[in-house]
Amino acid sequence: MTVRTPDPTPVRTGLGLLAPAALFMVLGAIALSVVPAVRVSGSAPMNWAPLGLAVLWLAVALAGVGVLGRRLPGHDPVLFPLAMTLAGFGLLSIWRVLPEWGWRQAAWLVVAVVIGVLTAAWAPGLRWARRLRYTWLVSGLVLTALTFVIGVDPSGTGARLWLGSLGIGVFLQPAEFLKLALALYVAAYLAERREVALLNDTEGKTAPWPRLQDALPVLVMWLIAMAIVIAQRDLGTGMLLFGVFVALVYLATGRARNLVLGGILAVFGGLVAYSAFGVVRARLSAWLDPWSDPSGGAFQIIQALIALAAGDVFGRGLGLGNPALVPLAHSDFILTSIGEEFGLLGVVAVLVLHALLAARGLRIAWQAERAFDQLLAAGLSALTAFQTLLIVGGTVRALPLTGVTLPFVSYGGSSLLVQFIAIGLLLAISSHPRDGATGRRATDARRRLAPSSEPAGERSSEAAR
Amino acid sequence: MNAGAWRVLNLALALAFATVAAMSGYWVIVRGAELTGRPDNARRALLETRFPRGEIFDRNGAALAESVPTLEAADGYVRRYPYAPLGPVLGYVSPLYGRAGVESAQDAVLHGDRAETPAMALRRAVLGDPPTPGAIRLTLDLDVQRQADEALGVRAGAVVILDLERGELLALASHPTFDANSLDSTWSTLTTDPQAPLLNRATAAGYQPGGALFPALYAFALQLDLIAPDATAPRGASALTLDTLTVTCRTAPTLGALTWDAALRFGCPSPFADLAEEIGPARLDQLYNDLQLLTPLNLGVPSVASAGVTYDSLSALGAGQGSLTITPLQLARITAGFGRAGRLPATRLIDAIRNPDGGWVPASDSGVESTAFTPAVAEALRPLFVDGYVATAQVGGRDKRRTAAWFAALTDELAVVVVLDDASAGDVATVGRTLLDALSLR
Repeated sequence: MTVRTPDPTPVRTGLGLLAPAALFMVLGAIALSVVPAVRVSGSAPMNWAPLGLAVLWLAVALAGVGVLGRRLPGHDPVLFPLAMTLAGFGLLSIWRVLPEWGWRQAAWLVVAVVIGVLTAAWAPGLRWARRLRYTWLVSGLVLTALTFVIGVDPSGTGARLWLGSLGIGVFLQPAEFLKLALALYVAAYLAERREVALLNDTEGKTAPWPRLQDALPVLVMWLIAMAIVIAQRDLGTGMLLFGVFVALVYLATGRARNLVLGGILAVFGGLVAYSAFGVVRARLSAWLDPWSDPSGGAFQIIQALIALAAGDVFGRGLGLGNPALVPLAHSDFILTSIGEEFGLLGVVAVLVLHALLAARGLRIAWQAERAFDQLLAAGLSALTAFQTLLIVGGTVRALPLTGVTLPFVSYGGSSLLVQFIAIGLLLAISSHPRDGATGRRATDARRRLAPSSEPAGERSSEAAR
Repeated sequence: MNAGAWRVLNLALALAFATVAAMSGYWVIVRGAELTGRPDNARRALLETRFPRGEIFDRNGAALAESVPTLEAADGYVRRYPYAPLGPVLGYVSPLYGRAGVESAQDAVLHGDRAETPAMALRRAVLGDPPTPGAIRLTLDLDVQRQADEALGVRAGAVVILDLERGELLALASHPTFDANSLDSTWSTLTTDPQAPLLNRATAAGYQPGGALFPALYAFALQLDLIAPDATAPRGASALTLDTLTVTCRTAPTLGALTWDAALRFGCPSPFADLAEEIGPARLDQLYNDLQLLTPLNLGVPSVASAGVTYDSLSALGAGQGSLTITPLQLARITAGFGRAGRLPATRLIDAIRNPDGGWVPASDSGVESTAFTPAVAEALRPLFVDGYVATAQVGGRDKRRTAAWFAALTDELAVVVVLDDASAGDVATVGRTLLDALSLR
């Protein structure tokens, strides 16, 4: 691959987007430093650590934008600043609740951005990702399986989903990597099979049920997801994996009946889980009627709602609330910390940022040249978006609570790492159409689809660039 | 990738994010006040450790509850109750244990939610200022309260003292009490104590009335011309047998045949049981409604009323051992009615509220006056209460039967009711008369 001269536009746009985020970070850090003096009358020491966090964040963000601009011309300029903004939001909020863990998250952020940028800038064409898909999948499954045997839980309260500690107090959550591996695997699988499936689809909607060849992979993935759920009690990840898979199948085939099949399987799986696990029943009853058991199973959700309400529209102010009254306020319930101190405006801001991230990722998917790139980009965007919706939905009682974290914002090294790797992959894909002649040309196959595809004019004008 | 599916996914995600944002808005804007006002919202109580909560005063301005700066931390306030025996009435407010009593019922005022101008409320919402608390002045008189608590001593029971003219509560005593100043160290014993010190017996405990309602029944029957004071009461002094209970006269009469007047004075249950049968369920229900025994009073503090009264066994109701229970407060109002020409007073505990701007306004939480008896009948029965009308009631299940004893008295200005959980008629008479003597010396 030849080295190109850096294209200034992504850097300029990136810096322009980072500027308000940087201002927010600095102001937030100052607020956190000053707040102890407000809460306590009499003298209190000023703690300038949050400013250190903000400076670190800024350094990482600038370095990321710079390196990407130099090594990956033509990449999408919005993704990385968006991700960094969310991560910065998370940094401040985590430090607010548990200062030591705020620094750990900062350390993880550095690692995550480094690896993410490496993935983006030095992963030509992503062919390596495709070829090694079985390796990713098997390693992901093996690592996750290891947690059954030697799994630990650093906080000691819940499911043992982590592997650690490598002697330095580092814990990894294999399930996060499994998500990435599965997305890669499924995208590659579907990209290959899609052509075959399409060639057989010329009759239209005559078959009432999907053929076994189409349905089998869905069933196999469903079984794997259910196996994870059953073994690990990690409902959220199971639902997430299955949802992303169904979405990818739907995107690849365009057949709504795949959605229906997925829905039926989800309901069936849900019934099995409901009858088999007390945890599922408890979560469901806490969701349907939390008011009748406020100090028992529904304690978390009620405290979460109270925290949101306590924030009102404008928030109590950074450092002036009591976010720690909600259990897991640094991870699963980081949104209630934001809701209490930044108010409804803060919550909506986080949602808007995530929605923009998802929209941007899907746009990258649309503009990608090869089927694998398209599906991978869509799958990664869906992964992040679904996970966000899952945890925020659980927090506002739109859905039962599941133990997933808010991407980029919650405390969680493995999650942050995986999310930035996903960003890296998306950035790599986004620079692809301008790269030119690599990879299989799937455009012909795509044009043969039902007439709902985009007008050919748009495609050809981009290809001509 | 299929274009149609891509569009569907985009749309679905947009809808999902919008829905979730809307639901956040719902909880914050629509249900916000309700959620933050919940007792398991520790934030309110925690805030009050940093900013003072409003005070509670007695009618003369003595502090009954106040937030004082703590000695330990550089900042912070702690709630102090100078007169500990009022624990069950005043209640407590704590981030751990929730709220109770007056502290709970008037939490909006004491925390500072009420009487805010919209400008103040907006400023507070944007800047996150602490609220400016209001204060409460009760009608209780600390001197009278002390006498009531002294009279009860170590016995379990309650005292209610009511001012006849304005219906104001001068004393509410409930023993055993607890010290709200030391909740942290005593909470576990308080909640497991079988004597229930956290219960406010004066307003929130229902007792079997036994003979305490005989005067009311008597007055009602007089008005209906069903009895006459000199007429012979059928079954006179004979014991009354209900399902598993045998009730006898409170004081054994010396005569064989009794007049109605004598039956009332000796507290004999059989005639009143028959009287209830004669009155019938419809009129009995009307009497209970006139006496306001079936609905809780609007006092500004929690009070209870007998729920689920059935009229299957009118004899039991007549003897005061049926499905109707009364609180000492309710009996005090009935007794007061006899001293007010048959009109039960509009009872008040909250006298006035101080707004955040410093001005006191009269409280609007007030019961409703109701007429139960004609002036003539009330006047005729008033002498009964001069030295106190004593009555007993059987309480408890078959295995742990005990006697509760009532004492109801009228002075020129006050209605005084004493109930003891487990005592004889003689005990309560002693307590009651000692109290009356102490009160007359004021």
